[in-house]
Parts: sequence; structure tokens; C-alpha cells
Amino acid sequence: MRTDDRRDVEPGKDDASAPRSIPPRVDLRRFRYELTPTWLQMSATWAGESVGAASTFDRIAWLGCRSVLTPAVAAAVHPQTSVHVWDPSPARLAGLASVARDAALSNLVIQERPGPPDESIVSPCDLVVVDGVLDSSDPARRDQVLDAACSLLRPGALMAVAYRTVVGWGEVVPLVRLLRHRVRLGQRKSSEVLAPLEGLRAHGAAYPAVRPAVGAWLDDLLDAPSDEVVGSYLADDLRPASHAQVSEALAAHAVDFVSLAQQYDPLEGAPPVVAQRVRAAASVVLRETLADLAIRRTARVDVYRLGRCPVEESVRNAAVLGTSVMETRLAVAETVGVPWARPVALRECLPTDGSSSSDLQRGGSCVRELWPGESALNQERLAGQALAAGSIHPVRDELPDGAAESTVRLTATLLRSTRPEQDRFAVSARLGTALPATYTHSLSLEHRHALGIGAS
Amino acid sequence: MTPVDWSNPVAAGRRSGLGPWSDGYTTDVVYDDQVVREICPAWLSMVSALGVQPPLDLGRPLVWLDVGCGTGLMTCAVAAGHPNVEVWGVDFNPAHVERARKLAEAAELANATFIEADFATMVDERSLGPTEVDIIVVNGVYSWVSARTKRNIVEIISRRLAPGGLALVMYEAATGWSSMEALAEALRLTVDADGREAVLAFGDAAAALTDFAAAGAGYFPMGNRETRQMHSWADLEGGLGAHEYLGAHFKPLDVQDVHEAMAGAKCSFIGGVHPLDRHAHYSVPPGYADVLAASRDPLSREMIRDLALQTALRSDVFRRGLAAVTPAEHDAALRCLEIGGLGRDFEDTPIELPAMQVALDPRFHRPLVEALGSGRLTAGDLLTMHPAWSLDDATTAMALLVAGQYATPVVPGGVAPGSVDACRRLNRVLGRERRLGRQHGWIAAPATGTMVALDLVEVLALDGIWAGVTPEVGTLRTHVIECLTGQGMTVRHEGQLIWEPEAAAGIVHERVAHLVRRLPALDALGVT
Repeated sequence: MRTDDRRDVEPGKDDASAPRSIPPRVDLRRFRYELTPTWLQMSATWAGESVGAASTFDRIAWLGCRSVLTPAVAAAVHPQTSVHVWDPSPARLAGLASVARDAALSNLVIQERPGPPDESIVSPCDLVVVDGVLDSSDPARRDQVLDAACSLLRPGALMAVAYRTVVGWGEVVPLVRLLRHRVRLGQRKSSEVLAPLEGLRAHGAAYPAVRPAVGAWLDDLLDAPSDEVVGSYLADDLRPASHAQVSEALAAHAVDFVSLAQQYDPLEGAPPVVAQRVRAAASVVLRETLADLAIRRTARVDVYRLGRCPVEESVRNAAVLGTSVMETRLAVAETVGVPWARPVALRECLPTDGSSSSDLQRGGSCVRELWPGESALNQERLAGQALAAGSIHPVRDELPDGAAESTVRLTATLLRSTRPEQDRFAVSARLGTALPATYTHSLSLEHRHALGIGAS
Repeated sequence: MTPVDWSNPVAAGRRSGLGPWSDGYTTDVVYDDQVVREICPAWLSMVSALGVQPPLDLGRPLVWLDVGCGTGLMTCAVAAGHPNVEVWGVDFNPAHVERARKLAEAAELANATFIEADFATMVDERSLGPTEVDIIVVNGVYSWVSARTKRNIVEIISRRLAPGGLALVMYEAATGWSSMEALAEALRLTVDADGREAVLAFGDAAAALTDFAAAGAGYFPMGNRETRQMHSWADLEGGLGAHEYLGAHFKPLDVQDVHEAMAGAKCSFIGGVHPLDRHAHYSVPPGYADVLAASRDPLSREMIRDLALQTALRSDVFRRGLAAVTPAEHDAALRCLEIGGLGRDFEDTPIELPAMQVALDPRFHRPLVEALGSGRLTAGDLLTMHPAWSLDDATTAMALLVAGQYATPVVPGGVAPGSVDACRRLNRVLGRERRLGRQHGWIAAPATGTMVALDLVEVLALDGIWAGVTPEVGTLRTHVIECLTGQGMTVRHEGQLIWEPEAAAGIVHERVAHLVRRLPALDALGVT
């Protein structure tokens, strides 16, 4: 089986007709709201699963923590939950250990010895988060991580898998591999590392010239500050995965896909014929695959479950409309893996009387109260848009013992002035998440208090 | 929001019909007979010598293993061309092995053995098949199997390739296929959900995805090469399409991954299988010399070259252990390199190389092509014909003639004993199969140790000669037209089937005449 197209190339030819494209971008966030237990529990509930409150989770495992602060936030807002973390990067683990030490997060357990991820995390978990490690691992380690993740699930447990997609990143791989190879050869200056790509581009080399996303990514890279090139763009290997690959690997362990973690539905912006074809797909895995192609989705967070537990549609609808939410301002657009995502602002969703907005800030409202004049279907749609926009966030039903104290300690740690701006978060015990300090600083004391942010 | 859906996320349909043994590989369509002439010992020996390694000693009894041999035609061709070589083929598809065994049996190729086994079994059971091998070929497999199976293939090489042995690994390269990976997966899932056999479902699935692209799906446009591939789906025969695109593990590969895996088997890259692949001038597009010169390590150069050329297929030759070769030994090896003519007339049309077009200088190359019309040439012969040339000039000229389809590497020193008879038997079997509708366009050529490609008309004419038809254009033309008519077939010209009898006869005449002109060259290859 081979296709020898040795004569099918036009060396050095640029295709001037190729349109410009938005490049895939490395997700450098140190905290990801869509990977918290609170958010994932909501995603599963909205997908029709019967899931206990996140506060009842006894044990959570993080296999890979590219967003290194997320497990620390989970440990702080769930002080009764044992949070175990493994990552192939010692530097990442050391950074997390430092945060955990400063914030006295005694329930955060870090696997300190190198090796496979199943050495110390022995008991079944209620939630396993696989963050980033799949798309930077060779096939052997990828198998190992997925096997370990599945073996940690107790029946009914959730799994979230975050990864860069083949659709978004597959074309970039040959360039990243070349650049990382040069780094491995000992080149550290970005000018040295990038020299061959600059040379290729200068000569109009076929590969980047005829793939719009690759050309745009290369432009982006060449414009990046030189210290970011080696430190961020090339820090991890790039081995993107597809939804079908992940789903089929997990299906072998009887772990089934539930839904995407993000509520954003980018198909609304796709051409109608394309959206219709996606929605008419004959299987779930095909639907997700076509959806990725339809919108060139660059990253996914998939929620899976060992043993699905679907509820009646009426029960599910009641749970959706009964979801308590509060106003937030998350920067969502860059997180959903769709470069052109333009989320709808909350102000466009809410009624104009202002009372709902005030409730949202003070103590939270449930979805059905936010748009009382709308049909149930519309209430769900509007709430979905607001969640997708990052304008609202689910509220936890109850605050576990010690959560207020541990979130205060972690907030104090994360707000220390020596930390870079992107690491500065305030942890909300009420929402079970962290919010950018730039946002929380602008809030009224009452609003901050309602969010359960106790220190700054 | 994602709609609630309680169905099993993994489609049943076709995949459930493949059986657990398939491991995602396309097994519901039997693969067509394929020939890749570069896998033969003489060719690989030339690559080794050009890569500053010792050539293979083709005079001693070698062991040759085809990992994933398919229906075994190539394997049988090597067996026929080298009766002194122990030839093995292994494939996990029983339909393939059955076909391969029947072919070997019909051609009485006692030195060819076929094993039905998966690669994990070959790793576990060392007594199965040859224990120490001089040449291992991995063709049409490596980009289509799971990561675990890839590791098994490398393990087979690691455990069985003899010190100094050569391994040829052919694979689809990411630089020519990266845009297609995601689309091929959607194609497979669409066929899986269809429920019909792959060969039937392929066309509809391909049309649906082509429409999806045209409707404005955000993934498109892809790279220009992959876009052309997608638009060619409509003309692709379903069986070939199924094998090319529907494997569950289809993945274009990076040269780095393959080279690192082979390094784990103590195998070092010595060059591409095409003799010009490592040539300082002809392997690089004009203007890129400075980019490559700045990167001294071989892997960087391969990666840069692939990006510059959008390389789609890599055929990498590895050696288990690099030998220390003195300049004198290298020169001696190069002088012994030998090519045989394929009977093609010298043309002014430039040769198409991956990196450039090359116009052969008729002052130098026409005499070489004419000499190859009825014989073989060593590099030493070229130096005699062109005394001003260096040895490097001579081997470059040989490589250009091979790339231009004027010549092919031949077994140094003449045909192997018994190979003329063995090739004749194999050609007879293939001729019988052609009369029953199999369209083999290849004939076994003893001097090459493998097969050479001919046009279907030429092959039918050759069948006629072997059956006693006078080798004269008019008689052979009548014979070929009778063969075609008897099978309800006609000739194809510039991609179109020609049904108008007079036009078809004219084309047949022209091609038969071409064959008659080629006969001296084919005779020199031991064919006639």
C-alpha cells in the first residue's frame, strides 16, 4: 500500500492563492476553569448523566498538569478530597509542590519519583483529569497514561481528557519536530533554532507556503518574543490526538464519551449545510470528528465516564434549569479551541431590568429564574450561551469544611506580587474555581464576599 | 451545547465485520498484487555502496525477509531472480498468504516460503521463520499499523537482522500527508457507520466528505497535494481506496520517529532508496543549498528537505552497524556498480526528480543510453566511455539513468544460476493469469533480480513471443488485438479507454513496435 507521488510536487513554488488563516496557538494558561471538578460535574449533568455533587468526590487524580495551578485550586476548594498529581515534567511538579507548600494544601499529593503514573495513586478515583500529557507523549507513553487513567476510575467516575487536536495541529507537527530537534542538538538562541524555517520561508518552500494554517503559525512564531520560542512554543513535544483515537482507546476499557466540557457550540457560526451534516452524523464519534473539521477546532476537553448513568430527559431538564450560577468574567474565547470564537456577552443574554444581574452578583440564581419569561428551551439555550461566554459559572451546592480557609491561603499564595501576572488568581470557594486577579480586583466587596474570595 | 446522545460512541458496522485479528488494518478487501522494484538485493546493494557502506555480497546465499508481504508477487519475483537466496514472506492476512503460496507453487519457487503470522507472534516465536536475515523489507505497512505493531516490526528487525544486514522501511511521510490524516479518519468513520463493505461504501463516503469541504467546513483548504488527493477519490477504485485511507491506525510519520525507532534496533540510516536521494546537488531544490549547509546533522537535513519538497513517501535504507570503509574500498565498490538498460530510447524530455527537472546532455548520455540498448554498463565502463569523468560523475550518471527509467541496477557479474528458468516459470504463470483477467504489467527479469514494468500491450505481446508468435510487429499486433478482444478489453491512451477499433489498433501497433525495439535490452536482462 503506497502512493509514490515523487513527481507530484512543485519544489519551491508558492501558492499565492492560498488564503491567510488563523494559526493554532499554544495554550499557556496555568489555570483552566473547564477542568475543575465543579465545571466537569456540571458538564456531565447537562449531558444527561446522574452525577453526585463534586463536593462528594473522595479522590481525584491528575495525570499530567499542563495547567499547573488547576490541581492546586481543586485541592483548595475540595479540602476533604485527596488530590493526586503525576506529570512527566519534574519542573512542573516542582512548581506545583511549591504552591501546595506555600498554601499548606495537605490534601495535594504529588508523585515525586519519575516513572509511570500508577506507582502511588492506587485507590479508585471519582474523577481523573488527563491534562495535556496525551498530546505530548509518544505512542507508548500515551497508551500507558490512558491505561493508568482507566485503571484509576471507580464505576461511575468521570474522566476529562484535554488535548490538542490533529485537525488543529497535525499540519504543524513537522515544523515543531524540526525545531525541537535543533533544541535537542544544543541550540538555545531562538534565531539559531528558527534559522532553517526562516530559510525555507524565504525560498517559498512548498510545505508552509501551501498550508494556510502552517504559514500563519510560522508567522506567529517568528513574531514571538525570542525567549518564548524555546520556553513556550517548543517546551512540550507535539503529538496531537483526535477524538476518535481517544474515544476508541477508552472504549476498550468500557469508558464512554459523555460530552465536551466546554458549553460553547461553535457550529452556530458554521455554514448551515456544514452544521446540518455534522448534526446528522450517523455516530457520535463521527459527529465529533466532523465538528472538529467543520470549525478547525484546535483543542478539546472531552468528558468520559466509566459506566454511564443516564437520567430521564425530564430529570435532566430539571437539573439544567435548576443549575445555580453566578456572574463571572472568564476569558473563554481562547479556551475552546476555535481561534475565531466570539462568545456572546452576558449583557446580550440577560433581561434588561437589572435585577437578575444583581442577583447573579449577590448570591446566585438558578437558570430558570434568570429568564422567567422565556420557554424552558430558550432558558437552557441562553444559559448555555452565557456559560460558553464565561459570563456565568455554576455555583457549588455546599461548601465543604475547611474550604474557606484553604482557598484564602491559596489566594494569598497566588496573589503574591513576585508571581507573574498570568499566575495571579483569586480562588472562589463558592464557585470552586479561580478567577483572574485583574477581574476580582474590580469587584465590589459584597460581590467578592459572595464569591467566597476571602483574601487579597 | 452537545446534544444528549445515548448511543455507543464507537460505530459498529464495518469494524465489527473485520474481526478482532485485523487490529484496525483493512482486511475486508484483498490487496492487489504490487511490485516495488527497489526492494531487490541488487538495488539495495547499490544504495549501500553509494552510502559509503559495503555492497551486498550477492554471490553468497543470502536470506531475504518481506515483513508484510501482501499477496507475495514481489517476494516471488525476488525468489525467481535469486534461486540462491532464501526468501521469506510473512503476512497476517490468510487471504494474502494463500495467494502468495499458490503463486510460488505454480512457479515452482522452492526457495520462497510464506508464513501466516502477525508481527507479535514473529517477535515471540523466534523459531518461526528465518533466525538471521541479510535483508528485511517493510513496504506498505508501517504507516498503517498501530504503535504497538510498529514496535513489533522494529523488534523483528532488532532480533533477526544480521550484523551488516540492510533494512528498507517505506512509509508515508507527514510532510506530504499531514493534512490528510484528519480527513482520512473522517472517511474511515463514515465508511464504518455505513455498514456496507468498504469497497462499496468508499465512493459515497468520499463524495460526502468532498461535498463537506466544498460547503465551507473550516478545515479546508488543505495542502495542495492533499487537496489533489481528495479530488482524486472520485476516480479511485474502492479496494485501493479502502487500503489507502481506511486503516484505523493510518498515520503519516516523521522521519525523526522512524530513525529513532530504527536506532533502537541498532540500525543506522544510510540513504534513501533512490540513488539520487543523498546527492548533494540533485536531491535539493535549487536555492536551498545554503539552508541545508547550515544544518550539518543528517537528520536535520532530511527534515528540511522533506519540508522543502513536501515529501509524501520515504523509502529509507538502514544498516545494522555501520562499517568502516576506506576510500579505496569505496572506490572499488563504486566501480563495480552495474546497470542494465530498460530499452527506452533517448529523449530530450527532462527527467523529473523530486527536487528539480534535469535535462540530460545528449553529448554524454545518448551514447550511454545507446550502449544500454543491448547490454549492461559498470561505472568502470562509463569511465572508459567518458575518460574525462570522475568516478563521482560516473555514478551520478548511472543514478540519473535509473531515475529517468533508462536503466535499472542489475546483479553484478551476470544473472544468478537458475534464475532464467525460474523467471520464465513465473512469467508463464503471470501470463496465464493475464489471460484470466489479472492485469499484471510486470515481468520477472533475471538480471535485475526483480521485475520490470511494461505496458499491458507490451506484456501481451511478450506473452505471444513466449507462446511462439513470431517477434514481428504485424503478427504481434494481431495477437494482442485478439487477446484484448477475447477478454472484452481495449487499450487506454492518456487516461482514456479507446473503444474505436481503428484507433485502438493504431495504438497497439505503436506499442508493439516499441516492444520490438526493446527486445534486445530485455534479452540482455535475461527476459526473452
